[in-house]
Amino acid sequence: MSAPLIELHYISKSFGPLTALRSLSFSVGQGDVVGLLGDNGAGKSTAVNLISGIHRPTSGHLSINGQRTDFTCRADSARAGIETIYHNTALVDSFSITRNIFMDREITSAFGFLKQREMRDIAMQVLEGAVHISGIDSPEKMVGELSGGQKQAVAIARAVFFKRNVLLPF
Amino acid sequence: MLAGEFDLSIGSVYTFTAILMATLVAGCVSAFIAAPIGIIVGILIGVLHGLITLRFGMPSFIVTLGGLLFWRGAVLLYNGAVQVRFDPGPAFSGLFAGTLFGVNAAFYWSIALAAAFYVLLHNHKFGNHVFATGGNPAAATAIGINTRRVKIFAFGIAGGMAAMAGILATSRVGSVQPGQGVGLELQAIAACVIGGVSLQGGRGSIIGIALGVMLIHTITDVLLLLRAPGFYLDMFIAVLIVAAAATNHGIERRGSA
Repeated sequence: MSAPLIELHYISKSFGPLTALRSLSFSVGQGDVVGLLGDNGAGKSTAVNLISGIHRPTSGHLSINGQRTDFTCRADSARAGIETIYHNTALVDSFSITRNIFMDREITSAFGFLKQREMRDIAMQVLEGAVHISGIDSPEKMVGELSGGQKQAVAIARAVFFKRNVLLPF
Repeated sequence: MLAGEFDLSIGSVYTFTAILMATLVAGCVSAFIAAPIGIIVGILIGVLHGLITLRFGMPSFIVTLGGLLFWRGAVLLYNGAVQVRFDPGPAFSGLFAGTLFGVNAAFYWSIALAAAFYVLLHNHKFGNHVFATGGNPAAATAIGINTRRVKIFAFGIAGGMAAMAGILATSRVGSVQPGQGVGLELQAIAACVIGGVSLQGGRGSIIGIALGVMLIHTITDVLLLLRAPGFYLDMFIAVLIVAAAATNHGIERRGSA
């Protein structure tokens, strides 16, 4: 049996005198869909931020594919294949869908110039193939013109295209 | 502005770097060495403003307002309230103040710089990061863009280009005065706002800004030719800033509705 994709081992997190999480343990396997439910202030956001590398645990640790891991920043979790999709902060409204999909992962020439046609063609394929989003006919559409659901779908399409193993819609 | 920050110090940086360059040339330093020194000092001043803004989490409006006053004072501290002649030699003058087909070199420099920044902003990875940083800093940071570095680069470019403007103006006039450049920052903001740059950052284009600059200067020239008093120009720019900002704001609100 393969190791869980993500495993939290007795993780606690305190912010000064406030304990946000106490001894949290759970695991997520390949193909699992897991919902994290709780009251306001239960620590859901803190748990997601710990998995995303935004916070570091006060005690306990995280394992990815059975390997003990210590994320120091969000880039570490992205390298491990984790994509956190924040509700309101995932996309730039003043950008097209193409530019949002390739934000910070632009396809460029040797000197950093954008290969715009290549990015547009791939974005079209992503929208047609990976995640079907109704109501979007062109990857050049500005994200500010999309509905909330369409925006989240674009963020998920981006994560799927970049082959993330774990998606954390938030 | 595109990166979501303001630089109100450019008028003072323009004067300070121009005076620095002119005094270096008066001290027998080649203008081809003094001009790059001026640009480097402009970039460093911009970077300093960026570092202070980001380090203390202050509004850039306040930090660069301080910069505006500080560098204006630094001009007087450095060289007193006297005009400095700028006599760089024929090669430098030809390059920065000569004419080609009856058009001043400053125009060609403006076109060349606008074209270079167009490519940088609209066709280069860096430009993408500038728009992302201004448009939604939280999303840009979350995706991994180093928004602090982008903003510091933007401040550096603003300072460097203020110095470049000082070089062009000083070369054309042949002298620099300590009172030069007053109000330039407001004209720059007016040009950006008229050109469609969002006051919140993240929206705008170099073509729009260039058209904004041309509009301001065309109307300025018309007012001068009509021999209108100087305060008409100030009033005109003030009205233009408010009207353009209100129009932009209205368009943005309609876009997000």
